[in-house]
Amino acid sequence: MSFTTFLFFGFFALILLGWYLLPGRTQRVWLLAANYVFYMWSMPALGLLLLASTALSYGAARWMGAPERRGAGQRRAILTAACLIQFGLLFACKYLQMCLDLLGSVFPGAAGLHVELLLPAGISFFTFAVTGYLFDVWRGKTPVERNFLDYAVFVSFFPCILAGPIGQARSFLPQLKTRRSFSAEALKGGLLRFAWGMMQKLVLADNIAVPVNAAYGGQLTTPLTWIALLLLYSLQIYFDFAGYSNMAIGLAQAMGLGVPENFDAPYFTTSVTGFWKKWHMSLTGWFREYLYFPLGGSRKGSLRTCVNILIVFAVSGLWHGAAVHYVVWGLLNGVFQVWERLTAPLRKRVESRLRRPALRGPYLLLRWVLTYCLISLTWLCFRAESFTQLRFILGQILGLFRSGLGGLRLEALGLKPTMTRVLLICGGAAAVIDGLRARGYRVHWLPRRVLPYYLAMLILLLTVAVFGVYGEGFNPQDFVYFKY
Amino acid sequence: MVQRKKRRLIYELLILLLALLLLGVLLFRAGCALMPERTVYGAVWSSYLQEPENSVDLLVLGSSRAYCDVIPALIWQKTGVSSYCMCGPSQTASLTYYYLRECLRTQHPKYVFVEASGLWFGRIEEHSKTNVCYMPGSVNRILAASTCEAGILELALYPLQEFHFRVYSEDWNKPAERDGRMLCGYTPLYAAKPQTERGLRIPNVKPGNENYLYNLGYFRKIAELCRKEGIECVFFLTPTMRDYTPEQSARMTEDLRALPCRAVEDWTDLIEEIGIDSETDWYDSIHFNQRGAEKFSAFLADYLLELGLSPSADADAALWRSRWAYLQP
Repeated sequence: MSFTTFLFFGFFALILLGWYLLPGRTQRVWLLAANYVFYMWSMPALGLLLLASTALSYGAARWMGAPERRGAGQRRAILTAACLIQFGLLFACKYLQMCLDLLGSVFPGAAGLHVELLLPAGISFFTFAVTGYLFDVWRGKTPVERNFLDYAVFVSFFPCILAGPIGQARSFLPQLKTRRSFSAEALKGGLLRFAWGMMQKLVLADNIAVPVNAAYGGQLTTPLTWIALLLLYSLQIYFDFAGYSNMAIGLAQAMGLGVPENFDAPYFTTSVTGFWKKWHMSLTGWFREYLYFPLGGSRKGSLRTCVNILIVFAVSGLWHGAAVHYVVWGLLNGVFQVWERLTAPLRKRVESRLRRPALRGPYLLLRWVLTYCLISLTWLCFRAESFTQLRFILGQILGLFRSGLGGLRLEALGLKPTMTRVLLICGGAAAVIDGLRARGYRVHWLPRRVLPYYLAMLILLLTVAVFGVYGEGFNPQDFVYFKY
Repeated sequence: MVQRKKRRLIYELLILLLALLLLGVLLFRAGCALMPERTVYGAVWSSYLQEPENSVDLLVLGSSRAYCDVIPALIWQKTGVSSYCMCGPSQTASLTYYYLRECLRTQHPKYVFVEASGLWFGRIEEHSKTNVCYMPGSVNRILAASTCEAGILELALYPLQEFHFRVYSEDWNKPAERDGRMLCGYTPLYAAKPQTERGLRIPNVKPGNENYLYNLGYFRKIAELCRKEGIECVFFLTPTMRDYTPEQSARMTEDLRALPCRAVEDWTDLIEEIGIDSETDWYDSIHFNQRGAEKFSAFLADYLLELGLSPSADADAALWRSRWAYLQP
């Protein structure tokens, strides 16, 4: 069930009604039922997988926490076994075919091996949520959850299950211990954030997707257009994923629940390292805490730190998809960060000489442009469907040295002038709001003011209704992160 | 303190209701306004609404048989009578009724000619959705949609959900190929398909069944509305190569004659009388091409003179001359 359908709006209204009206424990039973209905909507059998994953991690945590098994070795063995099963499931569903393909390319005898396994929606997200919980229990950072109902609600929480933000048991579970009573301010704030996310997704991301998809689909165009498309794709994927995250956070907020933030104006940073502190924060947080730190983090010398960064980003690439180009994308991001780390002393020296505002402004602007271009270049590896396509696109762009830039032909790729103007206005508004966020400004006051709040909602909903991509005969793009 | 909170709650509820109402109205209006203009294959509402009030003498309603066969500019050229075809493809009887109601908001014609094949249509036809959505944003549009099915009503209220060609259509940003204001609802077809044999048309709707009676009920409403407004109503059937069975024709004529109308004209057999050339004048077995439409419209003009329909003084003669000129090769 997609967030951007009338069916979901009705479904959510029903959930809200039950959530706020039902007493005590029934409230959570209601939410759990809603979570499973939401998850099983397109394929009921997936509910069993989710239930199995929940029961297994719940049992493993309880086992680890039992007083008679306090020995470090036993606890480690339980953690290892539970994580192996959880990651094994993820591996089987997502990576087995890739491994068989690789095997086939090395050993011709193994070529053509094929396993028909369905990739359950959101498996990467809930696997990380439950394993994060298991690690926390093992380290003693979070108490063992004894209430299966609460734990099952955490794992299957419908706003986050399909594409995050990846939940943290230690911050989510305590919220379920007290009954959530109705708060008009929370509801209004949540709905406003949902509407904002919808605008980002349906108006900005899905309209930018039109020329991007046309070009990646094989329509020939000029080098200048390809460069513009690279820069535009960075915005598409941001508005797509940030839009989804805002919708998810907004839904949780409307129910009086908090889930982690996922984005913090990432394109306003002036370094790739800074970008990754603000992009998909729940995933990078997970990797930092459960992979980077256990590898030694930055405590074991410069060389080891660089290797750790590369490992983390290679794994992050692999998490995004079972294909080599995703690993290349992750490694590229890792390499840029290693480079930034190695050149940090030099940069500091330059910056100390550029203290005068007249020089500092252009310097920061240059860094911002460079960062945006580098990130856009990495997204090319992310978006391309194969290395052949990657080579083809790079060849097209490099064609500018042979035949010049050529004209900007976005209209020929389906982006009509009317829509370009709409994108400029809505994108400008999103940039202003992100810019304010980057400076730490939040609009907490808006839901408390009656007229400005309803005016903002009215404008957002009208913009989505008129310029959004939805409805029969004009399918919205799937959320980019649904497939991970 | 409690009083203040209560007042604030009431104030907020009022604002919420107002915002919802405003959102509904704006979405409805935006949906209607952003529909691309129809210039052919049906009623040209925006051109029709631009006509000076009460300047149209004759209104032709019905299905594609009417908008392909009746040329308003030719009727004006021969009689000085100003006319408009406000039809729709596979136009159902109920939609024809609401088209008439909408048309009468700005015009008060002397005659309304209703092409009657709609009697044999289902309650909903392939193009009902489109025909409803092209209607202006008024109560008649909603009432028209409510006679179809739930999905169409939803669409009539909120057309944006389906018609995304507001932004990505080929028509958007590009001037229409045909000028609806010049054609006045007529759709010129140029291809010629020789018609050698007359065949039978077997509609799904049987005489006397529930659907037939439903359609007949709307034709009655049309006739009654015309009588109430002091307008002469004529039901007619255009020439065709696919006839109804004699029983169907007899039943239909009998039922329509029982309605309070000026005349019921079955012109299905008129082919030879008006000089239709079976090799060159048909677009297909039920629609004329332009050559055939000219012959039929000339016949219709003579018929109007026989009825004693005289032109109004309000029509813009220069505009009608340019409409006639627009149709000339």
